[in-house]
Amino acid sequence: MIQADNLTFQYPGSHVQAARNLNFRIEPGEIFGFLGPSGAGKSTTQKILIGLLKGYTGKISIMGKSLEDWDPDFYNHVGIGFELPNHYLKLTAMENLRFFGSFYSRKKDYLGLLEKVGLLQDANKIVENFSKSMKVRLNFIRALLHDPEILFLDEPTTGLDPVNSRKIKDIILDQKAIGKTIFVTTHNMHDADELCDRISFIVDGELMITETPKQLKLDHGKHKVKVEYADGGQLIKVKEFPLKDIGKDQKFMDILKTREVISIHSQEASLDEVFIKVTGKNLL
Amino acid sequence: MNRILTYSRNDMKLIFRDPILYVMLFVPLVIIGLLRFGLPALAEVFPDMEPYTKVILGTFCLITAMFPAYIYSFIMLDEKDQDVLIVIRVLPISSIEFLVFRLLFISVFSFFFTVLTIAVTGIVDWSPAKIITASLPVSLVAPVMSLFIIVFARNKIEGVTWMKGLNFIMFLPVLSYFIKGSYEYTFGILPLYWIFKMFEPGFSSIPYYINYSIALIYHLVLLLVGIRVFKLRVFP
Repeated sequence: MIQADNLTFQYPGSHVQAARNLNFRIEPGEIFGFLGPSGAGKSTTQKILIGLLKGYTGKISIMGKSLEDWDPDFYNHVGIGFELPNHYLKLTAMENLRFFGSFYSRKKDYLGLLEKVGLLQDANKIVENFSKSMKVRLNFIRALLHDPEILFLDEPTTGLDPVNSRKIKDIILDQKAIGKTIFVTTHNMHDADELCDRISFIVDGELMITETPKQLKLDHGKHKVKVEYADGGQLIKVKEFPLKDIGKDQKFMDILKTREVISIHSQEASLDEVFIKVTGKNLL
Repeated sequence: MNRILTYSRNDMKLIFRDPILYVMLFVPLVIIGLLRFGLPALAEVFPDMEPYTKVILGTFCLITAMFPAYIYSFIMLDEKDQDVLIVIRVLPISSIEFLVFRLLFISVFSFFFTVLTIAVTGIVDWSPAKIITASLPVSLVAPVMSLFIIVFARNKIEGVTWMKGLNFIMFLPVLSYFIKGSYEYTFGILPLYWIFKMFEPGFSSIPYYINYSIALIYHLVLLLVGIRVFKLRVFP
């Protein structure tokens, strides 16, 4: 659906490349994430992919057609959620949606979209009076207005409380379920872990690794389980056991049979830990 | 047609919900009224004004025609400030369509105010055809000015500074009426010189139709250059 080969970009006047020799391929119906700290090149890559930044080198193909060969009809097929809310502040939420929606030929369900993100009762309020979270949610549904085949979402949950973040993530997963291809940039490892089929770590404009979150966590974690148990009275003990042949590990089995087990955790790494291990950088 | 309605409805909402822009829309009408009734009274008190009434008319045509430029510059600077222009860039329309509609609206408003200023004030006894044709180059000044402001100002405060600067330069050609001889033609480098000369040739011996043609072509060229620069700098 989306393919980038040797994609390189440098901002005019800058001495460093914001994107260096990026190679990735996103399959139809996949949620693909770019995970990296601020300034890593995530938004730059998205801006290149949606045609906002020109002057890149390398090849980009979207829906089987070179990005350079697309005319404005391209934007009928892609929906774009920007990181920062950008609306007409003097218009209501509904007026904003109607104005932008009027440029697309597909039928739109403005009220349905507003309801999905909890903004139905605010549909006729002036956006200037919206909180940041409300503006972010309005931004998000604007990307879905025309039912596009591909979604580009830049930090879709930034500025949202857990409840609204959950709503947005559920909608993203619903979109995937109906076959949409989704490109997400985020510095939030939990979102990436929860949403993405595959992720790429990007640092200083370079892709360090591309893999499924599950595989990354397995590859970089310890193949052990940690057991926390009460060893008589108030004393709590912690022991680790290798996962290999754990069913034949007599000590492990004894604990399960004879002690009061408080918790058992596999020792796979978190994405945060994997990121630090692979890139040597923090996700902030 | 639908697209024109979409844009104009949106713009009207933006104008009528901003008290400053709303007032600006009606200021030209107040100016025209004051000119209609105030100028004859002033001419009676100061009879020396008589040779300059057409220069005054030209000046006020430009002043009233500028208000749409101020209004739309503020709207577009807001769009720039609030990153709405980026959203417009990712709509399935050609990058230039949005700008062309905006410039068209500015021009239509300017044209309306110019025709009204010439026709209502009664300073010149021009035929309707001459009023309409003379208003054409005047109605191109506002979109050119707007383009300059949108391209070079990064926010509303810078926009106001640009407006002040451009207004000062715009009215410099008035000085040409006080200079006799070929030196006055050095003001010809300023596009508005040719518009002023359409209204009142002063010491210049260049006929009306030449002044008119240069004014029209000069502003059309500036408009095309402005659109090109806008495309390069704002909608790259």
